[in-house]
This record gives sequence, structure tokens and C-alpha cells, in this order.
Amino acid sequence: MQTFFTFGVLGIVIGCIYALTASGLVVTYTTSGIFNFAHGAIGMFGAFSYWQLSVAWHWPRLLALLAILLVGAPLLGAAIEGALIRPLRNAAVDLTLVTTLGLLLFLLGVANLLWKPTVPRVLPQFFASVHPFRIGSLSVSANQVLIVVVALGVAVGLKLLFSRTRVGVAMRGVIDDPELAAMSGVSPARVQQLSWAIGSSLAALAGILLAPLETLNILSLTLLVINGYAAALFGSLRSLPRTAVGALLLGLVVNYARGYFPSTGFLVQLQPALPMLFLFGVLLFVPAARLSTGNGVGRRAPRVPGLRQSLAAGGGLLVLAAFLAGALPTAYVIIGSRGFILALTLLSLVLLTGYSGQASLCHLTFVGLGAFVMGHWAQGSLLGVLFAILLATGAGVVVAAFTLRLRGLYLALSTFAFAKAMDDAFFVRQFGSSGTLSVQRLRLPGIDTADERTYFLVCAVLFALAGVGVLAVRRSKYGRMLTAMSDSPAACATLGMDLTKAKLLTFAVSAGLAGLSGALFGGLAGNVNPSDFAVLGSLSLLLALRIGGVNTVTGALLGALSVAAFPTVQAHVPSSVQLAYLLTGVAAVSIGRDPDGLGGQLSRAGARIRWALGSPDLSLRPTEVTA
Amino acid sequence: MKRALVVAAVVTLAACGNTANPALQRAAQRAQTSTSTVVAGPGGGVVNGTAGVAAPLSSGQPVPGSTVAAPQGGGTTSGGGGGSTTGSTGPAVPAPAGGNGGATDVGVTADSITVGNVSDLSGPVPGLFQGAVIGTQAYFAKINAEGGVYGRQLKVAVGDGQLDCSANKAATTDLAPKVFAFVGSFSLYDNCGLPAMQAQPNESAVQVALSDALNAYPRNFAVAPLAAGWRQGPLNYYAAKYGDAWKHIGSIYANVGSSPAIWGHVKKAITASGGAVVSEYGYGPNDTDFTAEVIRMQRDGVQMFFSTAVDGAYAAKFVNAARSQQVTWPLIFGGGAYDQTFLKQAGDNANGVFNDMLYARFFNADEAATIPAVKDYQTWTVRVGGKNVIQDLYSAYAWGSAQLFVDALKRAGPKPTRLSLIAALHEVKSFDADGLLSPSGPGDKRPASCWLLVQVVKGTWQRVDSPASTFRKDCPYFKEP
Repeated sequence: MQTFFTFGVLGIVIGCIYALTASGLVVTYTTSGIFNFAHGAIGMFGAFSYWQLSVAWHWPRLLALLAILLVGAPLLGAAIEGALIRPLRNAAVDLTLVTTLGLLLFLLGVANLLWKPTVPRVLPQFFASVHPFRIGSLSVSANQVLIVVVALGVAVGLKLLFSRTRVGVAMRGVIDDPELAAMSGVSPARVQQLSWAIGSSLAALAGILLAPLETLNILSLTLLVINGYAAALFGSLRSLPRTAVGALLLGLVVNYARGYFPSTGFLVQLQPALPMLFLFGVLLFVPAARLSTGNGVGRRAPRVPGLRQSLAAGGGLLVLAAFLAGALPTAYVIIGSRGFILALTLLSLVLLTGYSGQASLCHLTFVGLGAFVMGHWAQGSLLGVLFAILLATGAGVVVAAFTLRLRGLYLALSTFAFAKAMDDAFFVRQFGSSGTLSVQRLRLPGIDTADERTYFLVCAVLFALAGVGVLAVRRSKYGRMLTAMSDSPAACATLGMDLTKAKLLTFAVSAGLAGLSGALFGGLAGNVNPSDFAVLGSLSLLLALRIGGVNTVTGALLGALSVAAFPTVQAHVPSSVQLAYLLTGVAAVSIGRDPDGLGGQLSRAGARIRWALGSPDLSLRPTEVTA
Repeated sequence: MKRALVVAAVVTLAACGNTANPALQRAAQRAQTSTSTVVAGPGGGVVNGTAGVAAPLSSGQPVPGSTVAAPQGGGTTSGGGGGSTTGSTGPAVPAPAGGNGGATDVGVTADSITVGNVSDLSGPVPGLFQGAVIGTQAYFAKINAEGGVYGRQLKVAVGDGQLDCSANKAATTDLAPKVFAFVGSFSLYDNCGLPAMQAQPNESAVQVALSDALNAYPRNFAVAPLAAGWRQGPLNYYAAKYGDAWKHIGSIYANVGSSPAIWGHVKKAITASGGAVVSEYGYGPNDTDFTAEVIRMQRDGVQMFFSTAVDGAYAAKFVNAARSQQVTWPLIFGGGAYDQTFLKQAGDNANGVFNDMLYARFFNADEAATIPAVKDYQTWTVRVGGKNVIQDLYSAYAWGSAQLFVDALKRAGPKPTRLSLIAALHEVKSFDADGLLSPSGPGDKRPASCWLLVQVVKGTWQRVDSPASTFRKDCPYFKEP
């Protein structure tokens, strides 16, 4: 009983940490409708800034704290809202997600530039000289007590803000109906900016309080907030009291599991995945009425090339690939192979996200399953590739079946939870005792795929075939139904379309394509590692696709090649190890303003030229995009 | 978390056994007896080197001794230098009267030898293995300042593995046809570049392997080869010192990558020493606090804590949690806690913590006073990396790898080829980087197992029950059946 009580107290402390991190998420979502993946990064930035002022520059701690919480963090939040968030009003969910992911990466890059990550830093605990409190057999530090007090204070304060103050009511009104709020004299833009300023301050507060308990580490502080997602979703991203309850529940579940699960066996593997299983469960069982979410409007309808045009483009690509295979050094050929494999993965997302409007944050999990099959059973055989596709397809069907009633942000977060749980409970334990899984390269009769140039061509051929196939799907009745589903599921249902079947089928085909790319990916380097399929990688995939163009095959190729080529760019600028993060952040800003990405821009430029040259094709009028 | 994985791998590779060949040990000691020489450093300073006769090792072929040489400075990636220092090893080797043969193989010219180093420098943990480059460059800078090897300056062409399999493969593929060998690399994905090395005739990898695949590669020569098992010496020591408490061990390990398997090896070794683990926890990337584990261990009757596969940051987290719960058990780590991050993040809580390890206290100033190789390492890493350089395990192992390469290069003669280098490396049956590292057998992949025990006393690591400047001699190794 004593142990039960002790773990309970500890669970409440941990729950308060979750509550603190989740409350800022709720505040920003409440007014902007945007789930801020960069919330943890803002907290990290706040903690490091506080360290800079209080430790490195020896400012008085209180002054440093006030400077961060009342000046620095609110200004950062307001700036983010103005530069990034405001243009995203009514944007598609995946676009909002990847934009905040880009912000996360940008802040990581800037932080790494300012504070060299290999230098150890320590943020002293608050009230370190105060003797720990005894609760039963548990010692609780003053810093931990402070977190509990602050978490409670924040919860009560925000509740009062939203219910008792004019500005709080205005903030709630803005998310419900900005136009109506504006008619009542409220400036939605100002209110949204204010909420981001408050959210940023709360993130900084959480970072500053947690950093002394955690280590002052850029990456871990940034990712610390992930467990808070479950709590925020428990409150449907709107209710602060329910968020607090969810946080406490999660804290108790996690700690009792740590206290009572056995040291070995399946349960110990499951343990790290508990917060994400909690999140998945919340999304599955929360009443549908609380899951209303926008899906974005204003998506441009792409102009779909005909069969002849797509075959010509595919053939042209293969001719170019054949030329490059002979001309490029081997190291660049490997990068090219990686590009085509990534393009296959992105192509699977074009089908799912670009055409049907369903955001998935678990596609690297499907890729990982494909690689897993190739490594464990396939031995490079063609049959193994088919099995890899089948397993990934099956996983896609399972995910789709569990998330049938979800869409928009909630669908994205449920796939995120699935991917994170697979990271924690499956990949890290199933890739063999060395943590790396050897994967044999696909063998084809009469073709020496062990040769890098040949493999490059094989990948190019598969991508070209898949591209032509995806475009054929897009032109079909099924493809038109997907785009209709993306525009208005309600209208589709009214017209008698079977959306359940469409969703299951789309997820299945998309996951199967990702499984194929996984089978090829494993064979590229000869082995894979669990971190190759980490959940944040799936977010980066979406970002890459957005950079290239979310609903075009060209976009998938451009996005993938830009990502694949980046290591080479980075290698030529060895002094700037943050280049990847910084450029990704810049790209995120740009796609927030031009959601069609590079593919869309190229397509529009080509159409403008042909229209200017007198083409009679009305579809070339400079407002449309070629798929 | 990748960092934890890396450390787990490094700790494993540092956990090996070796029955050192007494003759080779003596040869290595002879290499440290020296005469002084003065050479101009690349930066124009004067280096007060200590020349001598390189270890004849098993070949019995002595390498010519000291000389005076004016290094050429090298390319942009060659080691820097200048200033003044007193070295202890690494005699300068002049070009023979008949010339050194010029371009005898890939990466070799009459006045330089270029090696490759593919380490993870950017990516999710920027600068993670920067030490691997600095350590290699630092040792080469020292050798260049002393005149190079047979009139050739040593240069390092650096590739960035970016903590990514494909990037490692591309970087290695790019460098493999251009360099004489790979030296001092550190990458979590070193197996990804392996096929590119294999494709090059007789190209060797003088580097610590983090993957099983590279470790098993016949042309990999590591100063700390991997082996399944664990060093038995410290476990026997703890069993004798702590008696019954050794049968009530609590532990944590990174629940990722190879760490659970490593921990499996260690547990069997603990059992063989008469100990028993009664409470354990595999932590994940989201574990931020170990208070729950400490409470659980208290409940399970733990009387001492012993953990092997954790890095300094996670060791500090556990120690802080244990101290906050007024734990008085012995807190012992097997390698990973000797880290500047640990001392900084654990603060006063670190006092009393033990750590057994297979390398000298490479960042301790007092160690430099007793072990010349440590002084050289500290001096030259600062010269190359600047006064704020982090002296970590990776730079220490890279320094050792570079020294192993240079030793073999000298023995390969003035007209080295990749093949003659491999032959020379194969003959190195015992290597300890002049006391910086525990003796191991790079030539026959025998792991190190002679260890030393250190403890944090008043905020610094001090040797305990260990010789002042060498390793303990109780070096049995538990090898799994």
C-alpha cells in the first residue's frame, strides 16, 4: 500500500508536468485551430534563453525569468503568429502540421547555432537549498512542488481568463466564428496573436521549470512535450479542466506501470508506448461531437495529364535516369537511388494526402514494415517484396479501420500515436540484438542489382511505373471520388458514396506503396536502423511533399530529390551543421504562403509559357496545376 | 536517444578481454623510452618532441629513430600545430636516402598521405562525433610537427556521416577511391559505408567499430575491438568488496538498439561472479526522471546499483534521482560516467560515484602529470580544437586509432602500400596508445579487459584501488559460451 501511495504521488507530480506542457498547446489551438508541433521547441528556446541570462550572463534569476516570460517568449509567440500562423487560416491540416514542424526544426537549428549541443550545461533547480519534502517514503524536491503549484495556478488562471475576462471570451469566440467575433468589435488577428504570445510564455515556463529536472539538452527538451499531446487531446484541445484531468490520469498510468510491470517480457516493451496508446485510446473513444475539425479549403484542383502524357513523362524520366546513371559518380548515384525510393514513399502520400485529403503521420512506419520483412524473411526475393507490400497494406487497413470516424487533425494525431507506439514498442526491439537489421537487396533475374547504377535504374523504373499508375488512379472514377471526399465528405456521403470503403482502400494502397519503398530502402544501404523510421521522420516526409507539391507526382519527385540531395549540400558546407534545420524552416515558411510547392510553381510556369505561346487548351490558363 | 545508443555501443566495445603478449608489452614500453628532438611545427612554432625507436612489435623490424624535419603544413584538413610542447612518443621518420617511392598507392604522394575519416558531424545531434575528427587531426598534427613519416605529411579528408545510413554510405563511397585508408572514424552507421570500403582493394579501416558488421570485417583494426561478453575483473572486485550486496543489484539500461543485448551479456557475467540483478529497467527516450525506478529498487531490496550501458547524461539523471531519495547504496557505472557532462549535471550528487573503465582519465589534468600520452592528447586536442574543445571518449579513441595507424605505417616502410599497411596492422597484437588506452589486440581483434577504477571525490574523478599510471592487472574476460 505504501508503494502504491508513493507511485501515486509521483504520478501526480508527473501528471502536473504533462498538464503544464499541454495547457500551452490548448491555448494556441483554441484560438488559431492549429496544433503546434513546435510547442516543445519554444519551451526549449525559453529554457536556454533563461540559462543564457541567469547562468552565462549572471542576471538575477527573477529578472531573467520575468524577461523571458513577459518579454522574450510573448514576442516570439507574436512573431510566429504573424509570420507563420496567420497565413494558414483555413489551410489543410497537413499544411498546418508541417509548417509548425518546420518551425520546430528551425528553432532547433537556431538553438544549435547559439548553444553548441556538445557543451554540457546545467540549470540549477529552483529553491535547491530547501530540504526535500517527505510524503510517505517519497522525497519531493522544492522544484517538483513548484511545478505542481505552477501547474495548478496555470490551470486556474487560464480557466479564469477564458471565462471571466473579456479578452478570454473574445479568444474563445474567435475560434468558434471569427467573422461574428469581428462584428462584435474584436480583432481576430489581435486575439490570435495574443493567444500565441500566452502560449509561447506557457511553453517557456514549462521549459524553465523542467530543465533543472531534465537535462538542459536541446533535443530532449524539444521532444519532452510529446507526452503532453495525450493530455491535450483528452481535453479535445479546448477544455483546460479536462486537459488537467487527462494529464493526471496519464501520469498515474505511466507511473503505476513503471512500478508494477515486470522487468522482462512483452509488458516492458509496451511500457514506453503507454502515453501514445493513451492518446490513441482517447482519440478512439472521445465522443464524435468533440472531434469536429476543419479540413481546409481553397485547395486548387490539379490538371491531370492523360495517359499518353504521363507515359511520355515517365519515359523521359527514365532516359534522363539512364544518362545520369552513366555520368554521375557512384556516390551521387546512391543519392539518386535514395531520391527515387523517397519519391515512391511520397507518391504514396500524394494518393492519401494529396488526393483524398487524409493526413498520415505514420507512413515511415509502413516503410519500416516493408524493410523489416525484407530483412527478416525475404532474402532479396521478389516474393519477399510482395510480402513486404502485403504486410504494409495490412497495417494500413488496420490503421484505417481504427480511425474510420476521424479526420483532419485527429486522424493525423492518431496516426502519429500509432507511429510513435510502433517506434517505442516494435522497431527498437525487433531489429536484432545489434539494433541494426541487415537487408538484402532485391534480386531480379538477369539483372545485377548489386551494381549501384543498375539499382538506381531499377528504382527509377519502379517510381516511373508507380507514378503512371497513381495518375491513372487519379483519372479514374475512384480518383474523382477521392478528390470529392477531400473537398466534402459530407456531400459525398449524401450522394451515396461509400466513404468507408474508399478510405480503407486508399490507406491500403498508399501503405502498400510505402511498403514497396521500404523494401527498396532496406536494400539500398544493406541495413536499416529503428531511427530510420522514427515518427518525426514521417512529419518530415509530409514537409518534403509539401515543398515539392502535395498533389502532384512531379511534387513527390522534386520533394524527394531535394531531401535526398541535402546530405551532399550539407557535406559541401561542413562548417554549417545547422543548414538542414535552418533551410527546412525557411521552406516551411514558404510553403505556408504557397501551398502548391515547387511542383505547383513549375507547373504554373510551364502552363503560362504554353498559354502565352497560344495554346488553345483552356486548362493551361495560369491558375491550375498539373498533377 | 541516438546518443545513448552510441554510448551503449562504445561502452560495449570498451568491454573486452585481452591477455597481452608480454613480449609485445615490453616492445611497447621500449617505444616510450626516447630521446629528444626539436622540429618546427606546421604553424611555425617549435615542438619539443620526444623521439625514439618505434616498437618493433612482433616483426622485429625497428623503425629509424629521431630526426629534424620541416613539415609542409598540409592541406586544409591536415592537422594544425605550432606552439611548443613536449611529446612522449611518435618519433619523426625521415625519407630514406633513396627517396620514399613517391606515389606508392592510392592517397600517397612523395610528400603526403591522405586518409579518410567519415564521422557523424551534423544531423540530429550536431557535433556528436566531432571528437573523432579532432582526435585524428590532433595526433597527425603532432606527427607532422615532428617531421611526418618518411618525409610525408599526414592529411585527413573528412566526410560527414550525418547520423544517417545513406549519407554515411555516400561519404564513404566518395572517399574510398581517393584515400589510403580510413582512420579514426566514428559513425553510428559505419556498417553502411562498409561495402564501399570492401569494394576498394586492400583498403583498411583503422577505427573503432560501432557495428558488428564492421567489427567482423577482416580489414578493420580497432583499438577497442568488440566482443560478446564483459570484463570480469571489476565484477569479481565488486563481489569481493561488497559481499552480499552484490547479490542485490539494481540497474538501468537503454532500451534501444544493441543495449538490451549488451546488458544481457553483462548479467551473465554478473551471475558468473556470484552476483544477481534483482531490479532492472530499460529506459526509453521519453524517460526524464528515474525517481520511480529508485523507489521500485528500494521496494525490491536493492543494495547496490550497477549499470553499464548509459551515457553521462543519463547516469547523472539516475544519480540525481537516487540522491534525492537519500539512497546510500554504492552507485557504480561501467564506463559511461567518465564524462564531463556527468560531472556537470550531477554536481555534488556525483561525489562517491564509482566508474570502472578501459582508458586513462584522459581529461584529468593530474593524469597528464603521470602519463605522458595523456598530456600529449590533451595538448594537441586543444591546439587543433581550440581551448574549449571537448575531450571525450571519441577523440581519445580517434587519437589512439591515429597512433595505431602511424605505428603501422612506419613499420610498413618508406614505400607503403595498402597491402603492406594491412600486413603491419595484423602484426599489432598489443596496443595501448602509450597508456592512454587499456591494452588490446587490434591485429587479432582481442578486446581490452584491463581496467581501472575511479571515483568522484570533491567533484573530480580520482583513481581508486588502481595503479597511478597504468591499468589493474586482474584482467579476466567473461566470454559467453
